[in-house]
Amino acid sequence: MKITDVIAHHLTYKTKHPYANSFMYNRSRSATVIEVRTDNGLVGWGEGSGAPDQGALETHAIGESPFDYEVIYDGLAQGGRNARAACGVEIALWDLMGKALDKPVYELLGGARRNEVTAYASGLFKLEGEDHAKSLYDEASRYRDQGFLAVKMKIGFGREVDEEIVASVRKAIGPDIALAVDANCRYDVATAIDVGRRIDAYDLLWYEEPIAPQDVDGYCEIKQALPMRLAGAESLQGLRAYRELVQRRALHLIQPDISIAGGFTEGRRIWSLATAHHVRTVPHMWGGIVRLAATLHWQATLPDDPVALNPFPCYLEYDMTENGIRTDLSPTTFLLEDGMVKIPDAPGLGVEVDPEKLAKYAR
Amino acid sequence: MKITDVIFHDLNYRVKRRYRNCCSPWIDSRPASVVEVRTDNGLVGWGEGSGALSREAIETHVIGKSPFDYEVIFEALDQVRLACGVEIALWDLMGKALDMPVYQLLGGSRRSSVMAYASGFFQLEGGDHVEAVVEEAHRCVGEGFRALKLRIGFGREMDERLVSSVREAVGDGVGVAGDVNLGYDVATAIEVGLKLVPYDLLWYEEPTVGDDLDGYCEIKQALPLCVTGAEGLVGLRAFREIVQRRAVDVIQPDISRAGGFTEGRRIAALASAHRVGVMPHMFGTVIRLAATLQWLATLPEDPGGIHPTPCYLEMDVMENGLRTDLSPTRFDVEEGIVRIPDGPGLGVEIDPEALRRYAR
Repeated sequence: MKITDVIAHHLTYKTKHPYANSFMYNRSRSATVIEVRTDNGLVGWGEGSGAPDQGALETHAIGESPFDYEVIYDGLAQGGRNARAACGVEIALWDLMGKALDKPVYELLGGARRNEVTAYASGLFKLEGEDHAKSLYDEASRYRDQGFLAVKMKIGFGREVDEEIVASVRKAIGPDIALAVDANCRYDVATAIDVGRRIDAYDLLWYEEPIAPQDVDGYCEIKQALPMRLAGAESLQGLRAYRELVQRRALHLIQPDISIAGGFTEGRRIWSLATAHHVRTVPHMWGGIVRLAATLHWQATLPDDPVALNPFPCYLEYDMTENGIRTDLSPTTFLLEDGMVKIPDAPGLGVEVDPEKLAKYAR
Repeated sequence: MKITDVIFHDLNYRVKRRYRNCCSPWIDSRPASVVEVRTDNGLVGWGEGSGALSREAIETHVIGKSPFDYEVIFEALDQVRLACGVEIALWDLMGKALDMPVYQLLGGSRRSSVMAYASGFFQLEGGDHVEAVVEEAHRCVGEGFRALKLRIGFGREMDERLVSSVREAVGDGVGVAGDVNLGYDVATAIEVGLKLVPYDLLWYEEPTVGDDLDGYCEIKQALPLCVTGAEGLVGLRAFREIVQRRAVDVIQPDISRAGGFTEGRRIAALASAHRVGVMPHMFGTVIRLAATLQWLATLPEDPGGIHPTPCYLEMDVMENGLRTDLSPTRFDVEEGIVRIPDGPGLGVEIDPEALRRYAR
């Protein structure tokens, strides 16, 4: 089996009801869906952030076997410099290998530790034109009713607003549903600590990206000052980008995104680095259906650490925001049942992409 | 495909002429634990580990499972060192089932051959130490080796005699490395290292005891030599400190001890993140050699380039029927290189007659 063609589908979905995190309204969502065609008719799907240029694809991918996945990925990623662009192709190679061998991707990665994952509802953005605390209360109440065991909300709107909205969400979900907060890098260290002290009373699962990931010293300071888990690093690409944060134990959890960090290959290396340093890996997932499928396969294989009767859940970020690239691109769905999402067991990633929808969302 | 049985072969080769390094007793035997994993479709996988797992562990975690659950099985066994042999055998099985060499399952090979160094040059029992080592050097170069690793650690004078004599015998075109086998304290390691610098050593291996990381850092700072070590470590986390502190330039995990292909891959990722080199240790049977070759095929050059630093294969040249007689497969050195086999799995078949002959 040889790769004959790599097609990058740059997709855009215009949001009907824009939602904001701490720094911008999402008036659209975008993704690059990668289609890899082979000489035996099999097609593999991946999702990345951008795509390699045609020259790189011709040098490293076209004419090669998907089973040379590490050689191809490393060729495209160039030591991590172009890891982001290479993700989509890398993921598609696993979809192809799985389809060729009639095995789900998790089987090729060495076997599943679990057949379902605990999902957290990732949403609770600021909605344009609505009362912030009230809209969050309503949204969080819906998640409670849907059976979510955990939710994650956006903060970073300033200390007064943050305290108000965290209180509102905690009130809606009650004491037993886990609540994580995500500041999307909006704060400096002092503000991050100040806000963290105020909202600690609401019993947080983790405090995500209080500051930019490049400020490793800053994370170390925040970690020392605050009692709750610190999470971050979702935007980093390539293995070495994680070293400083991990080596210095600046975070309790790193959150590599399979479509940004470097696919299954780099994800596995990043997990190895983190695990060696006793840092937990809880992948980030805020994208299309193909990214969600890939993340599910990855999370099926992440070992519990430590192994225990009641281990820390390997939480799946279940993006609940309006995004046709997640909800409308494929007949495949990954539904919530009793707060859990099942790992797909069809060959490859287990997600088929509708070519009509690809055309519909093409930029 | 499901695993039906796991058989541990406790083997031993009786050495004809005893030898030792600076810290060992006279070595008169080369024992090995070879693992045979049988499946319900008739395929058999081979591995080499360190010791054997209990029958209970095998029955609970391995029998009835698919080799494709290699990570789950390895973790469930929860005995990294003892599980290496089984782990390696699972890759042999997957490769045979899919008609692919193990390097293909690991994501493709970066190279079709590796540079080998002759690993031997112990002190032989009887005869003159230096003369015997020089003779061995000539023989290895004649056999095609372009790099040699000497056992040193015999004291300042003897080490300089050994290295200078070999350097004089082989000239400048052959690489010469020195392995102290943990035999020196830090000050002596530095003193001897400085004496050996003029002879252009490829690397200076295990200059002091493994748990003295401060010592390794001192040695590394004091010497303009590539310092290597860590061949005895088991499991990913055991490598963290030495890698994080850059206490050696190159780590030398052994696939049959550190944790097979699964853990080896993780260790390589840890080392790569910290920009520490990886050059696997190999001093075992033909199965360990075959597994090490598959692993070597996949280790990325770091950094790459037109003239990358070679990642050497340790080719044990001491007499050992478990390396030379256990399999009809040959791994010959030609012009200093060994080809990576491209048959399915590990690419090595085991002679059942030889297995019986070497059973302890």
